[in-house]
Amino acid sequence: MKIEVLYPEICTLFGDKGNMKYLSQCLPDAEFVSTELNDKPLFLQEEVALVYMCSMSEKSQELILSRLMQYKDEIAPMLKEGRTLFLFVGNALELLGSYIQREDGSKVEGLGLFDFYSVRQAPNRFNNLMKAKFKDMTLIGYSSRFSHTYGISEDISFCKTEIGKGMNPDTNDEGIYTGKLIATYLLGPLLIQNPDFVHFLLAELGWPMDKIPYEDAMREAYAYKLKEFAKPELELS
Amino acid sequence: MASFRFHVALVAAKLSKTVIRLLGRNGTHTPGVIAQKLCPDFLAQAPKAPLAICVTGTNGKTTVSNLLTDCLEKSGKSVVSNRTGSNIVPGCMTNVINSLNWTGKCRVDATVFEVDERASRLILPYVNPDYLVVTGLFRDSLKRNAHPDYIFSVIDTYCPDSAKVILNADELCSSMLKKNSQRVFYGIGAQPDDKTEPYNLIADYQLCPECGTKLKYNYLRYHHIGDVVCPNCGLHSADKKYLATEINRENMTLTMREGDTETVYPLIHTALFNIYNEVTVISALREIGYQQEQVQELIAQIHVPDSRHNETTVNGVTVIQALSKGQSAVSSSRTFEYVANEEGRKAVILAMDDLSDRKKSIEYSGWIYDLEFEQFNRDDVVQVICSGPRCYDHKVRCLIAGIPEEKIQVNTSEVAAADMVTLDGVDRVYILYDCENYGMSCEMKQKIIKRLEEGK
Repeated sequence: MKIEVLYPEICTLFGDKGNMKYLSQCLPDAEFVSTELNDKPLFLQEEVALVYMCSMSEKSQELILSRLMQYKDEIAPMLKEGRTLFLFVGNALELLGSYIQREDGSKVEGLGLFDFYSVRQAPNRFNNLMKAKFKDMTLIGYSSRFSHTYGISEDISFCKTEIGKGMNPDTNDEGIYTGKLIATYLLGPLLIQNPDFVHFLLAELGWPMDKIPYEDAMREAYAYKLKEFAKPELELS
Repeated sequence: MASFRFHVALVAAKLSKTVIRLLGRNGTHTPGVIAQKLCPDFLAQAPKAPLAICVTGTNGKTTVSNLLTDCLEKSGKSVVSNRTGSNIVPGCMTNVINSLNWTGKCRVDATVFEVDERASRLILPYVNPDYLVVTGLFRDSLKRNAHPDYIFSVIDTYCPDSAKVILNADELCSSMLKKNSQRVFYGIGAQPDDKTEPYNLIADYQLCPECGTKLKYNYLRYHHIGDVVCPNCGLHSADKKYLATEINRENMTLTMREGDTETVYPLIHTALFNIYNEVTVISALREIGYQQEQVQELIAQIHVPDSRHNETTVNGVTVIQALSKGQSAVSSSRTFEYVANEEGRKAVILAMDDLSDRKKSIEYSGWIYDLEFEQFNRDDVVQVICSGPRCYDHKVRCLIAGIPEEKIQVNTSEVAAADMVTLDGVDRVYILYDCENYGMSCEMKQKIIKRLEEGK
C-alpha cells in the first residue's frame, strides 16, 4: 500500500506530521512517499491508497496552486473514481475551491473542483475548539486560520459541530465528505485525538484493525478532553 | 512637543506605580494600561532615550534583551528595560514611563525593549528604535502567531525603515527582513557537528523563497538554522559581519571574526541556543559602538538569567529547572536535546501546559507532534513524568516516540507530579517548564529538594 504525503516541506505546519507518524505505526508495511513541490503528484501516476495534505501558510497556498493548476484536469476524475482516499486537513481544503480572496480583495484561482470560495481576513485569526458529529462518532479537535469558507452544500459536509463553528461563523457544517475525499479545517493530530476516526480510516483503506496501537492511552486522552468540553463558559478560541 | 494629555497620563501612570509598589508588587503592566487609556498615542509622544534598542524574535528575545541590558548597565549606562514585565504594549509603555521623570523628560541613557513579535506592529512604529535586533523566526503558538510567514510580514511592515536591523544570517526567514534598511548580520560558522540535510522533525524554509527549489545547506545546525544556497537561482544566506568561528566548551571561549580581526570572548553557556544568544549580544554591542576589549570585559560579567536555567545539588542528585516554552516546538526541542545529552541517569518532568487555557479552555496539543519527544527514548532517561491537564496527550506522544510505557507516568497536577519522581539511582532531575509556570516549577523543585534532604 502506498500513502502519499503532499509537500511536507511546507505543509505540516501545526503538528500535522503526527498523523502520518502514527499511521506508519498502524501500517508498518505501507510505503509512505513524500512528494516535493516541483514534482508531479504520485497519485496521478500510479495507484495510491491515501493522499494526505495539511496546513500551510497563505504564501504556500499560492505556491502550491501555481504548481497544481497544470494538473487540475487530471485531479478531477481521480476524486470521482473513488479508488484513492484523500485526506486534506487545515487550510489545504481551500485549494479545492473556485478561489481564495485575499485581504485586498484580489483573488487567487483555486483548482475549481468544487464551487465554494474562501475569504482571508488577516490579521484576524479565527481559533476554534470543535466537537462535532461524524457518522456515529464524536470528533474533537481544533481549527486555527485567517480565512472562512463559503458555499459548501450541507449534503457534502464532513461533520456537524456541536461545539464550535464550522466553515464560517454562520454555519455548523464543517468540511467536505464526498466519495473518498475528506477535507476539514480540523488540524493537527486529528487521527491521534480521535481513535474512532482511526478505525474508520483504516477500514476505508481496507485494513480494519480490532485494536490500534496505543488505543488505551489514546482513549484515556480522548475521554479526558471530552470531559473538558463540559467546562462552564468554555472559551473556544 | 508632548500634549497636556500626555503629561496627565504620565503623572497618573507614575502615581499608580507608586501605589502598586506600596502594595508590594512590581507595577510592570498596570501603569502602561493607565497611560494608554488616558493618552492612546502615549508611545508616539514620549521623548526617546539617546539609545533605544528593541529585541524581537520567536526564541531568545528575553535572554538577549536581559543580557544586553546587563552589559549596558555594567558599562556605566543608566538603562531601563521591561525585563520584569510584559513584552506587549502595556509592558513596553511601562518601560517608557520608567525612562521618564515626572516632568516628562528622559532620565536614562538607554531603553531596551523586549518586544513580542506579533505585538511589534503596535510598538515598533512608536518606539522608533535606533536598533532592532532579531533572534530568528520559527513556528510558535498557532493561536497567537499563526506561522513565521505571517510574523515576518508584521515586522517587515511595521519596523521603521530608519532602524538599523541586526539579523541572524543563519535563519533564512528573518534574515530577509527590512531589505531597504541598513542591515548587519551575525551567525555561527561551520562547526564539526553540523549536518547538511534537515534531520529534525520540523525544518521550515527548506525551499527557496524566490523560486521554490529545494535549498542546499552548506551547513545545517538544527531545524532550518544554517547556511544555505539555492542551486537554481543562487539565493544564499547573507554575509556575516560578525561570525563565530570557534566554540571551545572546555576552555569556555568563543572566537568571533570581524573582517580580518579575531577576538576571543568568554563563553557564557554551552548550549548552542544560548551561544546564538551570546553572539547576538556581542554583535549588538559592537554595532552600538563598544570596542572588542570592552565587550570582552562586559561578557565576562554576565550570565544566563536564573529564571531560564538553574540547578541545585542535594546528596548527589542535581535538580534542574529549565525553560521549555509551551507551544514552541523548536525552542523546546532544543531544550529536550540538551537535557537528553547531559551525562548521568535522568528523570524528566514535563510542566509545559498553558496556565490560562487550563482555566476556561482546552489547550491545543498538536504542537507536541513537532516536539522531539524521541530525544527521551534512550536508556539513561529513566523516567518521563507528564504533568498538567494535557498529561494524557503527552503520554500518547511519548508512546509514539517509542518511550517504554513503564517509564511514563501522568498527573494532571504539576506540583503533585513532583512526588512521583523516583530519586533512587537518578543523577539529575529536570523540571521542564513553560515561562508562565515558573512559580509552579519552583514549588516542584522545593518538594524534590525536601525529599532529597529527608533522604526519601
